[in-house]
Amino acid sequence: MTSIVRTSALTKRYRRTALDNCTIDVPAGRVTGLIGQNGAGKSTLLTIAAGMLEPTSGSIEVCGGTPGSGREQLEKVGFVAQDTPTYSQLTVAEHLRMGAALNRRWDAALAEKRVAALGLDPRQKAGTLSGGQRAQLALTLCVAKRPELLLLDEPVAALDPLARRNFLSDLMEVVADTGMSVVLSSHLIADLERVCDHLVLLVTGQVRMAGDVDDLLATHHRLTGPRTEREEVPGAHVLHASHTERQTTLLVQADNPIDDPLWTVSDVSIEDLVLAHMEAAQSARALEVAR
Amino acid sequence: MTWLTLRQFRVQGIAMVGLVGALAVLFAVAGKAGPAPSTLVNSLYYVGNIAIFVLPALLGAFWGAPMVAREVEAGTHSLAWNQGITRGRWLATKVVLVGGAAALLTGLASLAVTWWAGGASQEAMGRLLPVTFGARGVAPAGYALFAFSLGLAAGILLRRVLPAMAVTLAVFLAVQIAVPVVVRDLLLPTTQETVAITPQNMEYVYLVNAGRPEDGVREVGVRGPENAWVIDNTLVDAAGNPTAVPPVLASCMIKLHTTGVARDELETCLAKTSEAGYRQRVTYHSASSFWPLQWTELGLFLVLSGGLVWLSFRRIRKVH
Repeated sequence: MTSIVRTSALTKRYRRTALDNCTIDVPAGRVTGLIGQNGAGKSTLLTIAAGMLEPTSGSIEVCGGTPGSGREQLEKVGFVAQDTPTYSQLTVAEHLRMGAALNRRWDAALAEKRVAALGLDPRQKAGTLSGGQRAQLALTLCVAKRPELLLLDEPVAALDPLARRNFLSDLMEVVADTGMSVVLSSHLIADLERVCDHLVLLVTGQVRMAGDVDDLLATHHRLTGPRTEREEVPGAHVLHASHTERQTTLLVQADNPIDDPLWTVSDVSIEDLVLAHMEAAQSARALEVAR
Repeated sequence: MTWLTLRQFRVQGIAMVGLVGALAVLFAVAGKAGPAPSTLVNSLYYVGNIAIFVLPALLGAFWGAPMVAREVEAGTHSLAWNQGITRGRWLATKVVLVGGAAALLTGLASLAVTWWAGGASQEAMGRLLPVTFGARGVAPAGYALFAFSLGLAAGILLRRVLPAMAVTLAVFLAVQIAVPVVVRDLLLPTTQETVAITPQNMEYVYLVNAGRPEDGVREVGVRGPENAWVIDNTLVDAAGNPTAVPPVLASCMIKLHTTGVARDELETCLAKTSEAGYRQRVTYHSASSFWPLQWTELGLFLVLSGGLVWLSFRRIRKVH
């Protein structure tokens, strides 16, 4: 597996700790979802990866180089920041002109094709575009510079459901056409589930879960059985347990199939997984605080 | 990058150049200032001086301060600085084009005012007086570049437009007051002359109310050479040491002030003062120092601007 983003003990402290000893390995050629609640460190991680922000400690390598280290590095990485900023006084066509002027690898044909396909009026000022259109324009600028890696920070957070779906399906097309790696963040599992084949879950600045979606689904199971206080299953790590009067339901992680006749094994969804990990992290922290 | 810089700069650029252009038209229509000016020309003389003092401050606040701060406020810095161009290149283009335009615009305006006011009666007091000096010649180009760099650095450090503008204006005002008061006279060596006080060269007497009238005479001053900028006017005794006004001089100064004296009486009094060894020591920059002082002050402000631009390049890497 080749990595596109690799961090080691990456830490960023402001007044609080935004990233806490993060070690992540994001594979190349994938669409990676960075999921976590608000304030989990998603933006900080992406901003550091784009070279906009320097970490407090630890190391990070993006596309084989140091973020923000120079022109070559900037050309390899495309970054769409939160709220998809564009120049409100510049027209769509002027944005493309800017992209052409500032990027050696600028793909004018791709940019124009996209603007036409998206139905954007080249003479319209970016400030008068809808949120969805502005996000599309920002993505277009980013894609047409032909980066190896696309970093998208909550690109759909401000969009309505329809614009959100359009943006994501458009993103999928671009990825299919260009083969670039993508890391996009969201606090909504549904957005990421639709497009990602690799997931990284951040909880309060730390990595809680990372892996290919298929692997994650294959190694996590829901076990249902008669009520028991023993929240233990041989060969499995229990992430979450819930009890009703007669039943116990466990969410477990296990590398091998579970064939304990006591339990009925069923599949889990990504959402179940993420929530179970978040809750586990929260109760672990509550314990820590209590001590 | 040149295209983007000019495109983003279009509104502020046109606004400021338009303002200066409109004033220029007004000056051209009114005609060059001469010895017998019309009321309009007379008022324009002061408008010109004020305009040259104010222009650099406006350029610092409206061209310099928003340059990075507005990008950060709007979040567009993460768009600009993720293109295939480093922040250093981005900033260099902006500094050269916009900073250069600020210096050029102010320099041209200042030289135009210098030429326009050349024959004005008010210029007779000398262009070295602080109120005139800073609105003439080449120094204002330096002020403009300094104000621009100050705005740029403030914008980078504060990352907000309005605070950066406020700091720019406050610091620029402080520097514009401090330089003529404490710095300018030190830029080049001054000339010193020690002369006898005569009725012809005596310029002023400084009196305060005191117990004995003679004690109230604090200072006398003589005129410097024509159009010179007199920095110091001190009474010295025979040994050349600064001294208080002696009774021989003080008594006739009091009389001059209260009842008036005949000319020969004043002459006698001043002659007695000279005989006792008292002289007036005048320290000044002569009129011919105008251009050397202008260039030196331009140099000073270029150095200050250079420091601020260097700071901006260093600190822009930390902006996120």
